[in-house]
Amino acid sequence: MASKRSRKRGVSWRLGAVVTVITLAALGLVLRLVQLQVVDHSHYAAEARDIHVAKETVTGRRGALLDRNGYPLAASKDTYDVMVEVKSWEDGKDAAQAASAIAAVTKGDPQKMVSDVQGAEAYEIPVARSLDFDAASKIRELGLQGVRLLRGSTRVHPEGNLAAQLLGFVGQDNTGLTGLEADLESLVGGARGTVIFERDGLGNQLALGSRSERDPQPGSQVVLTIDRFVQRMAERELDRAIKEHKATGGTIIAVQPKTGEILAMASRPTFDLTNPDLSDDSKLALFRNRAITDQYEPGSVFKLITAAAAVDLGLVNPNSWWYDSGTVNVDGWSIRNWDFSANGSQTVMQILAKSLNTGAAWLAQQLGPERFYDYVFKFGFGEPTGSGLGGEVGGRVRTPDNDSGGWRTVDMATNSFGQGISVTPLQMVMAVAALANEGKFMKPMLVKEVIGPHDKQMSEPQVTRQVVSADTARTLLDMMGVVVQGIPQNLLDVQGYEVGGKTGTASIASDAGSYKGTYISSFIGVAPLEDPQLVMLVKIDEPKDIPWGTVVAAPAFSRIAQAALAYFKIPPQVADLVRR
Amino acid sequence: MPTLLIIAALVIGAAALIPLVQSAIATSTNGNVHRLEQQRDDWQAKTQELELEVATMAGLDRIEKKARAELKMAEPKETRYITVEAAAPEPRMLPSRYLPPKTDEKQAGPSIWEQLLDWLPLP
Repeated sequence: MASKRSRKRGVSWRLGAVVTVITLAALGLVLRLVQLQVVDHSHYAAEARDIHVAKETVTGRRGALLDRNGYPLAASKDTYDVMVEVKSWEDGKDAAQAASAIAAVTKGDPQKMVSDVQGAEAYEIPVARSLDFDAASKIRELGLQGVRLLRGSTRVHPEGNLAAQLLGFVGQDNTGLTGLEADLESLVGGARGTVIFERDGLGNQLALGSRSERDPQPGSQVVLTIDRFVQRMAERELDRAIKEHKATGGTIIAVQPKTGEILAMASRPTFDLTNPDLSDDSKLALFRNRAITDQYEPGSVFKLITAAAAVDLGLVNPNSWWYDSGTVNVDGWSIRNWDFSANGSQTVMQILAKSLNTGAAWLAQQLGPERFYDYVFKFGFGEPTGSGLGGEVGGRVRTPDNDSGGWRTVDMATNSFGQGISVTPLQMVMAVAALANEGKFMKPMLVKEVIGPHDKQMSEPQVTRQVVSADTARTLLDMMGVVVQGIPQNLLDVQGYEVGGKTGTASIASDAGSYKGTYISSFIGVAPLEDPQLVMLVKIDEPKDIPWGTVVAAPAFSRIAQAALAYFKIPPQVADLVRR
Repeated sequence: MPTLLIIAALVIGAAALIPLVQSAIATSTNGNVHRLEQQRDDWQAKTQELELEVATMAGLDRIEKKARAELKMAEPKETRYITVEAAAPEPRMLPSRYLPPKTDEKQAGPSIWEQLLDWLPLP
């Protein structure tokens, strides 16, 4: 009986122990569940989401930059990055096989792919970038586990390096970094979209998984005023002039004077637009658009502005007489001609034809500082032209008002022939374009049309102001025609057309403020003279053999104008060349 | 009675299958949609590549190289202009691929239903 009772007590004890253990285990499980489901819920939910849910930023197709006739200068095409899920390449053998298969298509290094993936801490990483459609299709056909394609976009330039500084380039994130790509980012960039979806082990989207989407918006197409033919011609002639005269660089700008449309804007030195070198800070200087960022002393081409002001105020006419003694004394300084000549009695016409510094200084004296600088500002100097291009500077015009301490009367005398005053090439060409447009100063136009996904916007030419009267403008054009008659035909001859222009040979100032014996040679021309359709500035920096604008810059103008006028189907004025 | 029970069981079984069939159809349709979207994206990408290939082929540098090397063309030494007594051609239009899709003129005006609604004295 006693043993029966003790056995019963032993059973009861063991049963109690088992029940206790089970209860504690159950309680532990419940607590663990509470920890997983309640306390750490957000952490584990996020972890699960990271594994099963993918979030992709989708870029809208970047709008193309087209020339005035619709030829793409910069356009985008889809490219594909090969993404590998790091976990799926943990096994070395499988990873090596998969990497070899991918490398066979991409011509990459399979060992590097494996080491990159196995050393990564992210969920997935790219092993190949920017594949074209055919290569991406081959990768997809391989059907590799943990490998997927991520669609992206790359910029293509069908005309190669044409207008490199003007167009600029985009970064890896498809955002414009320089040039028009940056300036027109809000138009061509479009808007990014997002896709969130559940994925399977291969990284592919689950058919019945949840998905949310915000569609990307494509960028607008922008039709520029640039003409690819004229631009190419300008770049070719710029390269030729630089090579022939061993110059350090240069700029050519061609403008339609009646509308202010910029037909070509070329600068040298330049860079490889298809593969810009960002490795070295010193290369950054190559990316800037020198036509708007670099200021220079324009030299004798500026005499056109001085003469226009004097004629417009009725102080002189082309036949007004003046006596050139070879020197003009201003505040104790002697102004002399470029060839130190003394020409005796001369007309205002001859001041331009012979490019007399003394004559320009005399004209400025007739005007006086207030009226002289008033016209300088009216011609657009001293402030940006409003082209809309990023980095455009306004040049530097020192006057008695803005530099009362430093300005002297001799400054106006030197300014009258384009020294001691800083302008940009775009300012100079737009000022002369005003003379070719009946005295109306136009806002420079680079964008002709913006074609959006839903609408189309045309840019209209804008008259900024009337700078001089139409009669004065016509007089100056005629004077420019006489100037050109003095240039030998082997240097300037646009067959069939009467053209006008003015040369410039300007000394380059050193950082210390003195002139360092190097020059900028330039020519600014108008064609045809009767009904101007083209105004062009050719500026060549530091030619080594000869400094004269007549020899260095005028031939380039001649060849470009000859080709461009025929290209624009402008009939020649010389009847012998025309057959009916 | 047993027959009725069998029929009822079959009906209940069939009813139970409906969600399964629906789910299968939905999965299949969804798969097809994704496949077609993929195909559409692929064709769009291929079209873009071809457009850019055409643009590259029309590049001035390439045309000049071909003209000089293959057609033995050279720049003229003298230019003669011939005036043609005919109307000038229309300016070259932008390639249609760069233009926005044309809006359907029929959709431009209000529909019959919208016109009917306009008649109603609604606020």
